Amino acid sequence: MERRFSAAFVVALWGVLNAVMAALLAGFIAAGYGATMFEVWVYGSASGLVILIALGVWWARRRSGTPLARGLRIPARPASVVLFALAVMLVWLGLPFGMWLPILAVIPLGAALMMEISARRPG
Amino acid sequence: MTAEVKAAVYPPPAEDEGRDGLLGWLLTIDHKRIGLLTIGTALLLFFFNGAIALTMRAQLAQPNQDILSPQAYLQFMTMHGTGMIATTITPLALGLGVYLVPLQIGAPRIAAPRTTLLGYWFYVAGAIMLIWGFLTPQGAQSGWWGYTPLSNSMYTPGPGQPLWVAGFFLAATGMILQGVTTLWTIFRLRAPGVTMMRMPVFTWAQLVTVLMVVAAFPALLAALLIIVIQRFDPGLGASNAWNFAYQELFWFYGHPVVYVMFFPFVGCVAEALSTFSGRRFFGYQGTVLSLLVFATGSMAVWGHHLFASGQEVNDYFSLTSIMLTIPAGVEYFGFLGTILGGRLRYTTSMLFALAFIPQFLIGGLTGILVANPTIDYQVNNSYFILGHFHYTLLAGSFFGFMAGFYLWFPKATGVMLREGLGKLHLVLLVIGTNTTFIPFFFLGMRGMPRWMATYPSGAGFTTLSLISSIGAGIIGLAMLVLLWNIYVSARFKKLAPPDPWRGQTLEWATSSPPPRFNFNLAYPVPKVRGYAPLFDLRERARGEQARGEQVRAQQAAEGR
Repeated sequence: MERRFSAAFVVALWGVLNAVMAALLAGFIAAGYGATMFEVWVYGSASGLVILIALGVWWARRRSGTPLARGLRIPARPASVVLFALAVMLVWLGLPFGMWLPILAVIPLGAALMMEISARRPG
Repeated sequence: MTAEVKAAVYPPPAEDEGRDGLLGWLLTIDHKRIGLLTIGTALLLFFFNGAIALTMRAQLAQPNQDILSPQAYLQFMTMHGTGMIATTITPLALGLGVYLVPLQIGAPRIAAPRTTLLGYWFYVAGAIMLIWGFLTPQGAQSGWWGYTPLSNSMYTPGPGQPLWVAGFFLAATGMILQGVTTLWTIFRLRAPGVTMMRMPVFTWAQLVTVLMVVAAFPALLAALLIIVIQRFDPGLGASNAWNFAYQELFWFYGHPVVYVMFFPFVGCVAEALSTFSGRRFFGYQGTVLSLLVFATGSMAVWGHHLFASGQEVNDYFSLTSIMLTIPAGVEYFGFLGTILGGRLRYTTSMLFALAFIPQFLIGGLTGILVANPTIDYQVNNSYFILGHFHYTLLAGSFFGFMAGFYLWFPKATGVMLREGLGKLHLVLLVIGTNTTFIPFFFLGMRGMPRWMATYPSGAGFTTLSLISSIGAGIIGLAMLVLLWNIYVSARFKKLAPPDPWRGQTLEWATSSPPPRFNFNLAYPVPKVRGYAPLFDLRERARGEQARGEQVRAQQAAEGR
C-alpha cells in the first residue's frame, strides 16, 4: 500500500478520476441533455494537465532521485523576483492607463535580468 | 550523518544570513516568512473587505437609506466579493500551506522558494490594483464574476474595471505559483520515512487544494483575457459565444475556488480535533480517499452556478453536486470518530473546530438544497444563496482558519495567545455569525434579491435586515477582540515551548518559532512511522514505561 501510493500515482489517480467525470459530462451532452462540447474541452484540458503533472513527478523521481539526500542549494538574489513582479504590474497597468506604462517596465525587468546574470557569474 | 540532518545543516550562503528588519522580511526566501507575510497580508485585507461589508450592512439596516448610492453599493459589493475570495480567504488557505507543509513533512525548506516569493509579490500587486480600482470614481461594479459584456469598455468605462481585471489576474497568478511550489515540496522534499500515507491530514488537504489550484485557476486567467480583449474590442461582446465561454471558464474556476477556500481549513479542524482529543485522527485512510474524491467532485459541479441560464446540463451538475454529500459525510464521520472516546481539552482552537462542525453543516446542507435545480430556480439570485455561501465561507472556512490560527500561533511566533480573550473572540464570533446569516435564509425565502442597494419600508425585509446588520457589528467587535489578543500577547509575552499542546505532527518536534531550516541538530526530524509521529513516540514511551513498571512490580512480588 505504502509503496504503491506514490506521489505520481496519487496525481495520476486524481487526473484519471477527473477525466472520468469529464467523459460522463460528454455522455450527458451527447445524449442531448444540453450545453456544448466546450465544457468538455475545458474540463478535459484540466484533467490532461493533471495527468501531465503526474508524468512530470514520475520523471523527476526517476531522473534525480530524492533531493534531500544530496542536500539543497539555497537560491540567491531574491530582490530580482520583486523587480520582476513590479515589471509585470507595470505591464498590466497599461490596460487602464495606456501603453506607455508597459514601456517603463523595461527598467525593472532589465535590472532584474542584470541581477540574475551577476548572481550566476562565477566568483 | 543521516540524510535529513545533512539537508538541515546545509550551510546557507552569506546573503541569506543576518537579514532581519523590514528588507529581510520583504526579500525573504524562508517559506515560514513568506507564509506569514501571505497570511498577515490576507488578514489585513480581511479587515479592509470586512469594513466594506459593514458599510453595506449599515446601508441595509433600515429601508430607504442613502449612505451609499446604488452605483457605489455595486462597487462595494464587487470589491467585497472579489477581495474576500481572491485576496483574503484563498491566500489564507494557501499561505497556511506555504508555512506549514514543509514543517509537517520534515523538509528543510520549500521547493523553489523564489517562485513562492514571486507568488507573494504578484498577490500583493494584485491586491493593490484591486483596491486602486475600487478607489477610482468609476470602480468595477459588475460583481466578483465580472460577466461580459457588462464588464467591457462599452458598459463599464473608466479605469476601475481594467484595474479589477489586472488585480484579479495577478492575485490568481500569485496563488498558482505558491500552490505549485507547495505541490512540488510535497512530492520531492518529504523527509525519509514520510511516505504519502504518513502525511498529516492537513498536508493531504493542502495537496488536494493545490491540485485544484493548478487544474482550475488557469481557466480564470483565460476568462480574464476575454475581458481584456473586450476592453479593446467591445464588439466581441455582441457574440453570445464569447460571453457564454466567459461564464463557463469563470465558473470552472469559480466553484473549485470555494473548495480551495475550504479543504485547508478542514485540515486545520482535523489537526485541532485530533490534538485536543488526545487521539490519532479517526479513519485516516478513508479521509484521505474522501479528500481525493471530494476534490474530483468539486471540479465537476461548476455548472450549477448556471442552472437558471437555461444553457447547462442541469441533470449532470445536479447529480455531481448532490454526490458531494458522500465524501463530505466521510470527513464528518472522521471528525466525530476522533472526538468520541477522546479526552477532550477545550482550548480556543478546539472550540473553533467544534463550532466549525455544525456551522459548516448548515452551509453544506443548504448547498445540497440548491443543488436541486427546481429549488435553485426559486431561490436563485436571492439572499438564500448569500446565506448558503456565507455559512460555508465565514461560518465554516473562517472558523476552520481560526482553529488553525490559535493552534499554530505559538509555533509561528514563539508566543502564546491569551485563552480567555480567545474564548471571548469565539463566543462573539459565533453569536455575530449566526445573527448575521440566519436572517439571510428567511430574507431569501421572502424574495429579497441580491444586489439591492436599498428596499422600500413595506417590503417585509426591515426587521430581518436590522437583525443581520446588528450581527455584522458583533462580528466586527469579535475581530477587534482578536486584534486585542494579538496585541496583548505580543506586548506581555508568555513564551511558547516547542510543543505547547502535545501535538502529533512533525512541526511540534522543532522549536517555537522553528529555526531557519526548520530542523537542526538540537531539533532533528524524529523517526516517522505513521501519520501522527509524535503521538506514536509518546505512545511507545508510555508502553515502555508501563512494561518497566510491570517488570519491577513482578520482581518486587517475587521478593527479588
